[in-house]
Parts: sequence; C-alpha cells; structure tokens
Amino acid sequence: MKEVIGVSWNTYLGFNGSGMHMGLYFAAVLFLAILSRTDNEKRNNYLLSGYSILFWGIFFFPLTAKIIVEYCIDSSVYWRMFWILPFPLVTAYAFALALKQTPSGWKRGIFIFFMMAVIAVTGTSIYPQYFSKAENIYKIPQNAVDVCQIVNEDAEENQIAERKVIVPNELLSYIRQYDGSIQMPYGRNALKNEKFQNKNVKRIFELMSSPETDFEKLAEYAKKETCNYLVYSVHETADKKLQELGYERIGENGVYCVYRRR
Amino acid sequence: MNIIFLFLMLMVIPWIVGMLYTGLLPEERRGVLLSWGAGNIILWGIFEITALPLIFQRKSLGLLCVVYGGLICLLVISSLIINRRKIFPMIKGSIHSIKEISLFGWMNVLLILGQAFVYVRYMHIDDDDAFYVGAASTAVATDTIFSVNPYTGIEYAELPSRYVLSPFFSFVAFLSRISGVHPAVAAHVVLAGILIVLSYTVYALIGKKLFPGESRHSEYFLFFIIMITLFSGYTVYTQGMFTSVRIWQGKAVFCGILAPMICYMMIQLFSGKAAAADWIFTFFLMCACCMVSSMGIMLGAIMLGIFGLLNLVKNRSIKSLCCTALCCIPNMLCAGMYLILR
Repeated sequence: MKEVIGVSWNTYLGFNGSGMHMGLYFAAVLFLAILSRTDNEKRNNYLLSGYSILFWGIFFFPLTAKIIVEYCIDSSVYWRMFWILPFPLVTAYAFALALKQTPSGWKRGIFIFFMMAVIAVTGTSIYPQYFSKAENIYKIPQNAVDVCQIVNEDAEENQIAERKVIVPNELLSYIRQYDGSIQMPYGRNALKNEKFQNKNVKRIFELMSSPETDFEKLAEYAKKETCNYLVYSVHETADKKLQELGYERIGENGVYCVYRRR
Repeated sequence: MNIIFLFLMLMVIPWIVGMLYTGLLPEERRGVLLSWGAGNIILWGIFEITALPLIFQRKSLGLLCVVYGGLICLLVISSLIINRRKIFPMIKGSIHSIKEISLFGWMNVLLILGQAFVYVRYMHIDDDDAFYVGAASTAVATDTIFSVNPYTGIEYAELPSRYVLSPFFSFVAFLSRISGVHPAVAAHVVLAGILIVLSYTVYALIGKKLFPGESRHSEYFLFFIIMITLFSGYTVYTQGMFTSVRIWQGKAVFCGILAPMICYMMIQLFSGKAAAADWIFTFFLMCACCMVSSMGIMLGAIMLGIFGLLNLVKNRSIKSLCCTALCCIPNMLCAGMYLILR
C-alpha cells in the first residue's frame, strides 16, 4: 500500500516538475465555487469540481491506483492519468469567470495582462527549444534521407529487390520513417533494450555501438543475417578495411559512407 | 499539390460527415466548428470499427482503403442528401458568427495559426516516431497493416498487443495511400497542422458551452487555454507539451483533442438537454479514443465513468447511467482483447 501511494506521489511530483500551473489549478477549483453565480455556472462548477475530487480520489486511493497501474497502464507511465485531469480547462474557466466580475475597459485589459503574466511566470515556454529549422519536408534528419536515397539508387541500378541495411545508431530511428521497404536487422528497439531477433543481430548492434569496431566480425555477422548494405561514418581506416572485406563503396554524403556487400 | 489536396480533404470531408450528427441537433447548436470536430471523431471511430477485424485477419492496406474509403463516400453522400437544406443556413450562420468575432478573438485565431505554422515550417525530432511514422511507412510500402515490425521491416510472428488495438498510424497510412503524400509528410506536416487547429476548435466549443451567449468571455477562455498550452513546457508530460510538440502521434491526439472533447460532451450531457444523437456521438468518441492510443482505451472509459457517477448523484437518472455504460462498450471490448492478447 505504501508503495502504491509512493508511486502516486512521485508521479504527481514528476508531472508538476518545476511548474506551478497545478497550483493555479487548485486555486481555480477553490475559486470556482465563489465565482459561479448563474445556474449554468453553478452546474459547471459542480461538474468540474466534482470531477476533480473524484479524479484525485482515484489517483491517490491505493486500491484504484493499484488496479490502474497493474492492469490498465504501467507505473512508468502513470503520469498519463493527468491527461484526463482537465486542469487547463478549469484554470482557464476560472480566469474567464473572474473577468466577468471586472468592469470592461482598461481595467479589464490590465487584469488580462496580469493573468497572462501569472500563467507565463508559473510555467515555461514551449518555444523555441523543442523546434529547429526543418532539414526537409519529411521533417527527419537529412542524413537519413541521403543514406536511403543512395541505397535505393544502387539497388535499382543493380536490380536488388531486398535491401537490408546496417546503420549507425544515430540513424536507427529515421531510416524506416523515410522508406518502409528497407529492412534493418534491428531498429530503435535495440536502443530501448528490447529483445533482439537473434544472437547475431545482438552482436551486430554491439559491434556498431563499440568505439573500435571489429570489422571482420561485423562483416561475418552481416553476411549471416543477409544484410547487403552497411552505412558507416566517413573514416579512412574503416573505408579501407571494409573494402578489403568485400564491401564496395557506393556513395557518401560527407558524413556517412554507404557500402554494398559484393 | 497532393499535400494541398490532403489538407482540403481533411477540412471538408469531416465537416460533411459531422453534419450527420449536428443535423440531428436543435438549430442553435449546429455550427461548422462542431460539425468539423465531430466529423473527425466519427471518422476515427468508424476507422477503429473497420480496421480491427481486417488487422486480425491480416488483410492488406489496400483492402482497408477500399472498405474504409467506400464507407466515407457513403457517409458523405448520405450527409449531403440528408442535410441538403441545412448546409447553407449553417454556412450562413457561421459567416455571421465570424463577423461577430472581436479583435481579441482574431488575436486567438492568429495565435492558433501561428502554432500551426510552427508545425508546418519547423521540425521536432521525436524518437517515438520510429514506431508510429515507421508503422505508417511500413504499411504503405508493404501493403500490410500491423503485419510487419516497423523497427526492422521483418514480419511479426504475432500481433503486437500493445499497439494493435489502436491503429492510428494505419489511419495515417490510409491518408498517405489515398493522397499519394509520403507518410512522414502526412504526419509531420499535414496532420500536425490540422490537428493543432482541431485541438483548439474543441476548446473553442467548450468555451461556447461554458459561456452560452457570451462570446467575449468564451474568447477570454480560449485565450487562457492558448496561454496555458504555450507555457506548459515545465515538464515533458503535460497535455500542452504533447499538443504543441507532437500532435501527430495518437497519444497526443487523445490528450489534446479527445480528452477535451469528452469534457465537452460531459458538459453537454450534464446539462440535461442531451439529444439521442449526443449519446450516439459519445459512443463514436469512445471508439475514437480506442483508435488513437492504448491509453485512450482505459483513460477514456475512466473519464466517462467519473462523469457517469457525478451525473447519477446530481440528476439521479438511471437512464443516463445506462447510456454512459453503453458508450463505454468499445473500451471494455478493447480492454478485454488486450488482456487476452498480452
């Protein structure tokens, strides 16, 4: 029981982070009762406040929390319960209701500005840190697009139907977003420590993750897994070694070299 | 050109389909925004009902496109026939409403379009797309639905229980297949731009419901919602964060669009002025929750369950409680299937 309460509490703290919007929400719930005057407002207050109370009850009550964590959503994503807490709605509603008590004109303008400042100060702006200039229309790294295009052009030229590509870990998440017909021995599942298809695949991933790649072993396992293409960072020694091991360099984009197994 | 076609399609078709619901409502509740929002949700709900049997039978994406596309055509034609006399008054009413928007309201519109512009112009790299967009790309490239592992391109030995009940990215694959737009572009550009507008549309509808006949205050409400969303970057878990940064993913659709839509329906149903169409729409809303995310299966039902209890206490209506329970049937079925599959 203590454990479940601990999970709930830590989830709450984690969700709250450095922000204070949850504080605004709690204040809003309290103020809704005072601010609601008309029948419609009172009914909305009953619904939103009642919903809030039941939500927190379900969230913290050990039995319901345990059922949700065990059977519905995992404890690692228990924070997603907050998605069904309409705290932006309740906060914005209380703010808008408060404006009803304020006379229109410049006084209301100042009040709106003050409320906006409160929201800004108690939160953190989303922009611009989560966005960057788009490298292409697909909104995936251009290196991944380049690599796929080199592989596809070569496969078309040489009439190769099946393309199975080993790529550096930083490209794992993007290759198959661009081209779903390209196969890979492992993808982002490897970075998430999920199960590998077999031991050879796991060894390929370990070799590609190693700072000093053993190219002979890599070529051996790649052959066993019928991987006919290999992408590696532009590197003189690696280039020489791979060509010795039967790989033909078919192109590069300045950052990555693309090889085909002869 | 294809991108513009897809944009237009996502604007017009849901609106027409949504009129099947709003056409049944009293005149004062009809409107273009509600029709468009509801239409999207009905289409997602129908997608869940159409796609699941095909996924379990390991049918092709091509077949899904034919069946689902055919259904959409049927709905559009039916709606145009049924609502032929209501379309123009609805458009007229909406134009009249646009004329009444204050300067403050236009500022809201600008802020929302600004966020849509950021989605279209800039890029957010999210590694979860390796699965979600990867699944759409794989479906389009291999003409399958959930038969092939999006991480590797190798066929699944068994269906992935965690994702299979919520085929949102098969929906992206469907859009990509019928429009010829690359799945990554369909998700990162077209859907992102449309869905952020849809998210705020739902909040605008909530504002209208909370402040009936007080358009100025519903504009204030929407403005504060926009502000809270824009300043919700204090953790990566918030609804605002998911809405503003990766709305093309099913889980973000749930927290940014469907959860607020459930709130909208709760307010409507709680008012005691619910029409039969409202309950039918809520059923499709629950189907849509199941379609977009496995989280939606559970969380959608919890939301409606809480509402059911509150409604029972306040209005003492057993009929409403029964209707609420009936609306949760899709969630219960999906939850049962999940427990069997996992």
